[in-house]
This record gives sequence, C-alpha cells and structure tokens, in this order.
Amino acid sequence: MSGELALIAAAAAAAAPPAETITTAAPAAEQLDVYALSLGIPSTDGWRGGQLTLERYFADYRIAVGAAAELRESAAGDYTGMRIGSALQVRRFGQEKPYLSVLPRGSMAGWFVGAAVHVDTNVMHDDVDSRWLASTLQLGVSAEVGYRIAPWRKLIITPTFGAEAHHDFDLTGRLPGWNKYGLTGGLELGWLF
Amino acid sequence: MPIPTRLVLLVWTAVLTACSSIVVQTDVSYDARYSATVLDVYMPPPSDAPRPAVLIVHGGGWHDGIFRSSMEDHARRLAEAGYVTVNIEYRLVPGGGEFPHAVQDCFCALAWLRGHASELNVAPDRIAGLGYSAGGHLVSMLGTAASAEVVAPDCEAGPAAPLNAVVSGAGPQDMTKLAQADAVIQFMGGTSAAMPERYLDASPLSYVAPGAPPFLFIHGNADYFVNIDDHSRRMQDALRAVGASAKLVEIPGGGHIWNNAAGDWELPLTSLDTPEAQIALVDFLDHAIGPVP
Repeated sequence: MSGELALIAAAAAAAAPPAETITTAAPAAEQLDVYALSLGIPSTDGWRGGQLTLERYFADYRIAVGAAAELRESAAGDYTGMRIGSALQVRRFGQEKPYLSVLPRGSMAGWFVGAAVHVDTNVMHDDVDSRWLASTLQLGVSAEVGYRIAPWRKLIITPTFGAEAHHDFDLTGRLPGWNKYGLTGGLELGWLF
Repeated sequence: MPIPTRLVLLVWTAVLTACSSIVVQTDVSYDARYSATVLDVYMPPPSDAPRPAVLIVHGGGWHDGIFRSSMEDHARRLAEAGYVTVNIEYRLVPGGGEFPHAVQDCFCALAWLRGHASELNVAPDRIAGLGYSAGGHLVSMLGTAASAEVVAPDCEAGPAAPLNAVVSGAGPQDMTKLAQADAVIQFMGGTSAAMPERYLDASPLSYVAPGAPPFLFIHGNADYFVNIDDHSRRMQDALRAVGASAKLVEIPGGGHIWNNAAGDWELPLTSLDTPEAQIALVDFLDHAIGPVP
C-alpha cells in the first residue's frame, strides 16, 4: 500500500508544472510634490482680502523657498485703506517622516524653522472729505517655527509661531519712521502639487 | 555684558540721540499730592509760533501693570512731527485710581498743561487727547465731561476746559456695555447691577452735547474686549446727532492687542499702531487742532 502511494505521489509530482518563481523589484521612489500653494488665514480676517504663498521645495536640502503676495482692505468706516504686500521666505524642514502626515517620506511636512522678509505698502482715502491721504511703506523681517500637518491627500495645514520686527515709513515725510516688534502667530491652509 | 555688545549699544544710543531733535523732560509732577501723578514732556525743535499739543493717556484696564512707557513711541513720534506731547501717568487700581479719581487726575494733567502753555510755547486752545483702551475712555471723558460735577478735579491746577480734539483708540464709551471683568468692577467699585448710575456717570456717552470737540475713533472690528459697535460706533452716532464732527477708522480684523501683519497675527500690535491709524491720526490732528508751525 505504501509503495502505491509513493508511486502516485511521484507521478503527481512529475505531472505538476514547475513552481513559478516570483521576483519582486525594489519599490520605485515615490514622487515628492515640490510646490505648495497656501492661503494665510489671519489675512482673511473679516474676509476682506488674503495672502497667498507659493513654495518650491528642494528635497535634497529639505528647504522650501517661497514668495507671498497680500492684498486686502486695511481700513474701513469713514476711510478706505488698501494694503499690498509681498514677502520672500525660506523654510528648513527637519523630519524625514513626521507624525500627522500622509505624505511620502522626505516631503515638506513636519517641523520647520523659517525666516522671511516683507515689504508692504498701503493707500488711504478719507471717504467723508473725499481726499487721498498719505501712503506708507513697511519693511519687515521675521523668524518662525512651525509644524506642517498633511492629514489627507495633498492638503496641508501649517500653524506657525514667531517674532517680527518692522519699520514703517510715512512716504509723505509727515511722520518719522518707527520700529515695531511683536510676536506672531500664523495659520496656513494649502495644497501640494 | 561683553564689552563689544556694550560698545555697540553705546554707539547705537549715541546715534539715536544725535538723530533726535526732541528734548524730553521726565517725571514732572502735575499734582504733588500723589506720587503717581507725573508726566513726561516731549518738546519738538523750538518755534516762534505757539504749537499744538497732544496729551497722551495710556491704557491697561485702569489697572496697575501697564504704564505710560507703553505710549512712549507715540509721544516721541508725534513730537518729531512737530507737536508738543505730554505723556501722562495717573492713579491706577489698586492705588487710588478707582472712578472718578483716574478721570480727575487726567483733568488735572490737562489743567497743568494749559497752565504751563506759555512756558512750553503751546497754544492752549489747540490741545488734543490721544489714548488707547482705558486711555481712550479717559480722553473721551476729557472731551465730553468737563462740566460734570462727579469728575470735577480738586487739584491745585484746578478744573480744565474740554480737550479741543479727541483721538480714542478702542476706548470704552458706555461702561454699561463692558463685560463685567475684574478690572472693570475694581475700577468702578462694584458691578453695573449694583451701581447702574455710577456706570452711567463714568460713560463718555452720557455727556455728549452740542459743542463737543471733534473726535477720531480708531478701532479693530474683531475687538472682543471693547466692541466697536457698542462703543466707538454708538459714540460716533451720538456725536454726529448733536452736530459734532466724528470719524471712525475701522481696522478690519483688528483685535484689542493683536492685529494682522504680513499674513500673520501680530501681538502686541494695536489698531492704534497700524500705518492706517497713524495716517488718519496725523491728518485728523492737522485739521482739528491746526498744522504745526
């Protein structure tokens, strides 16, 4: 009996196709998004304008370089004020695979430190007396620390804290320039692409 | 401190002093009965003609902790623009500043300034008040309540005529509309429910009458401590109803001690510190109390 079983087993083994060899290639490196477009939430206070920031990420250096543009109504009531601003910023990301991020390893997410320079100008109109008033120029520098969260697909949420110093110039020369210093808090909502 | 740092600071201070043409007299007593009632005078370069002046009153919830140093940059900046500026201290809470004492102190400071007008080369009928928060409340009282018995000063400088113009930054105008925070209750000496008449006595809105001086209100529309509608807008409407000039600079998104700056919230940056407020302020002063000589 055992000899018959051995023969059957040998025949079945001979009839069976050779086992398929499965080879798996190393996974391809995931493509990192190198651009981010973000809206600064504080600048939308009152829904009278906003600030958009476009960042370009250099993954090899974990650095994102950005440019921002701001346009918003800065005075109302009996006056109309418009502020136009721009900024250049750089951020250095510090984590390979941060928490609260669904993005691939090495993306621009997680902790970062940054610095920026700002240039703002504004125009003012007295609506009661129908007169244009002076304009000012504001130059500022800021430093920040932040944490970029990427909770879903390519959505990014970026809270920041920092400090800012700026110098205000009255372009008519009526008031002397002055320096202002402060702590800053920011919140950005953006999308990677 | 390392010697190079000290050297840099010394050189920087020397450069700033050399660049500034302002002469500052500090800690001048305007009511010798109290140690708190002092002021600093910022004198612009000499002029042949009498100059307009600005009496500056700091905020801080009428409470000990924030002093006139918080308004020093405003005093210096306006002095460099040609105004004689007087940055005052007043009794705070605790320390004797409960209503009406803080208001009386401010009237005494105004009377002192008018009494020293010739010495300071100030035009006594061209004096504006500038204040923020509690300071905005106090300068509004100086503009409207000069004839009210309840706040009549008893100092040597005597009673004072009203200010000739008022700039109120986020100033409470109707004390009954303020939240019953500790600072308010301590300043008033009780709650609004317990002493409603006293809250009305302390409200600039109660004293609006024809002949009120021109007002400029500067207020953030996201101010959760002093609501723009309850205070600056209502006061503006009341002033306009009696024929007085009253303008409002509304700072969109501005809070009580924070503001928008370069896409962020900046703290402490009040609505009074914004470039928009500064532009409106100096334009208002030039028109309300005349240009500087």
